[in-house]
Amino acid sequence: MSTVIFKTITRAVVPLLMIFSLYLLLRGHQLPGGGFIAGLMTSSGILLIYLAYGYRFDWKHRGAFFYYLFSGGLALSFLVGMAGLFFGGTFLKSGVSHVHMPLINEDWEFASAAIFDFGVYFVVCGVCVTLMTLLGEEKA
Amino acid sequence: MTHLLVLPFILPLGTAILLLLLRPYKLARCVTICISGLMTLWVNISLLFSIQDHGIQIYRLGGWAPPFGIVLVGDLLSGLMIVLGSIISVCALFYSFDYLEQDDQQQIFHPLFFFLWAGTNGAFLTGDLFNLFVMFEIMLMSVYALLTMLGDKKQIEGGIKLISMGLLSSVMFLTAVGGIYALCGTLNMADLAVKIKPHIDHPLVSAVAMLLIAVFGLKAAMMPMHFWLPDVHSSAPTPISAMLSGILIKVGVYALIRVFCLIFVDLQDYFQVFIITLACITMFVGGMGAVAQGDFKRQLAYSSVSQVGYILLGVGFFTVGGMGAALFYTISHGIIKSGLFMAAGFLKKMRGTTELARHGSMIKISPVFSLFLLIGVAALGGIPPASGFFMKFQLVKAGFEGGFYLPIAIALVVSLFTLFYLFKSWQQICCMEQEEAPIKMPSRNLLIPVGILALLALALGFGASPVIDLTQAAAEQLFAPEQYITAVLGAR
Repeated sequence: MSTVIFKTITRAVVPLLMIFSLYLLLRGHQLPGGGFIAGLMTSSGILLIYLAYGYRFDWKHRGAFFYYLFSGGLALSFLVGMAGLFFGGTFLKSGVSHVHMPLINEDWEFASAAIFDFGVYFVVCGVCVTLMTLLGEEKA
Repeated sequence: MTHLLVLPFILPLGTAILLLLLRPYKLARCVTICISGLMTLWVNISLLFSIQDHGIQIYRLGGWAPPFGIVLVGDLLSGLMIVLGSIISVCALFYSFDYLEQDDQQQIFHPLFFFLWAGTNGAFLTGDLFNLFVMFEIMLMSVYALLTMLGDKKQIEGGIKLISMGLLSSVMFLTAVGGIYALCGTLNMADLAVKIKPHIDHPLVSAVAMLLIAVFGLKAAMMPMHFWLPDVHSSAPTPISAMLSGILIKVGVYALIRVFCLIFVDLQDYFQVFIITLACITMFVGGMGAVAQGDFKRQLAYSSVSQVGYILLGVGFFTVGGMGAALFYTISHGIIKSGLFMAAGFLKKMRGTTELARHGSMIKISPVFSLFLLIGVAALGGIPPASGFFMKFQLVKAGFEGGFYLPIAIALVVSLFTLFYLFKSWQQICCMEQEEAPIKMPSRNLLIPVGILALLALALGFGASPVIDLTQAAAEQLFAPEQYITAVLGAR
């Protein structure tokens, strides 16, 4: 599987994938995109690295890391939903604020729905990578 | 607006997530499970009382107004169903501590169980057709994993059947939702009920109604789609069998009631004969199947098919009395049947099998168990004073009032079969001499939830009248859909 062509293309493609997935993640709460699709894209990037270079980027607690990534992401999304409930609204209510950015002189929008999307992103990343590595690994 | 209505969904969901994070800490997990299990039960019961006092309540998720955002709606039907669900869930949770002996099994089991609980509560509370689909998926996803968790060959077989059944029903559900959205441009159930009125003669409407009967019938194991149930319910780990038979097939029945009493009100007459015919065949086939089984758990699973036929019969009358009877039947059957499944699990722990021929002499080994089993069997068979008598009595009464003599005759004949196979099994398990097979006595804690459910079945018999009044009130509310529509969309 790990031919020179595949390795080279992976090197070129993975950074693009990561940047594009972050772009989708950050615009997702207002425009097409979102945590789910971005998470799929990021995890496919990670899986490409695994396929091309094997577990060279492996570290000791990889399994635990992705486990806590998806349960933490779930907790993050849930807490954002709960925050809506505690700060006067209803469950899942999103808060929005516009902040004036000093250097670039623009109004940026910060919505708590974006944080919810981050949670979704972590869940999808964690679950996809865990599933794929479990399916790909030889049985211990 | 109070937040009480959203708590039955949030509490189990939050607990499930917390349990995922607390995976390495056994004690913390146990404490969390106990506290939030009891809290959810308490919240659900107080929600039922609050609905009873203040009428139908709605909750706007995310603060969006009804036809556009998703609403949670609590009427008496939802209230009754979530209370039933949480009683069974709490017992199943308690049971699971001793049933799953290894800690790594519990680490997987409990978070998934709470996801399942959140899904069922959500399905009972949601007021949006697509949201109902999502809740069904949450439930099914957790059930797939819970079912195949122990990795038994039979469980994998049951899992494959459940997954193919689930995928089929999801596709049909989505098609139906798409069809109705194309016609009316909304998926909020109350809004649909209003907007579908001018289109009621459109062929797409009856097609959608038929598809929805197929979907919810598949979930509730209505006759031509009952084939998956015996394998799945009998192979699942016992707490899950109890949940499946006690509450999950009732979600299908609930959705059928909700859809036909709110959206397709004008199609009730059109589908009445169809539903009643299928209900009669369902109870007959289930009863026959149960008589033929040599395995106690499979027998109970077939019996569930047959009992769902009774519930659907009550629904099919489309009268207040029939619906009330069906609701009382649902509650009472849920409690009795989950208790019986837990008793079967006790037998399985003891001799490693639930085959009837390998069991016996229980009256000597554990008299308490025999008593609980007798109460459950008598209750399901319809012997007073347990609740089973009142559930059948209500149904027969409603049938005579509506003039449905033939279905009632079939129901009564099938109930004789029920009595026959249940008492035959009880006699085999408790009274027959059984020398072979070494016994491994399981933990006696397993008998506590069985006892609680058996006593509840008795209590539901002695104190039947307030519950019957409540179910009748719920049925009256269902046959006045204007109340629901006004509560969601506001007075117009």
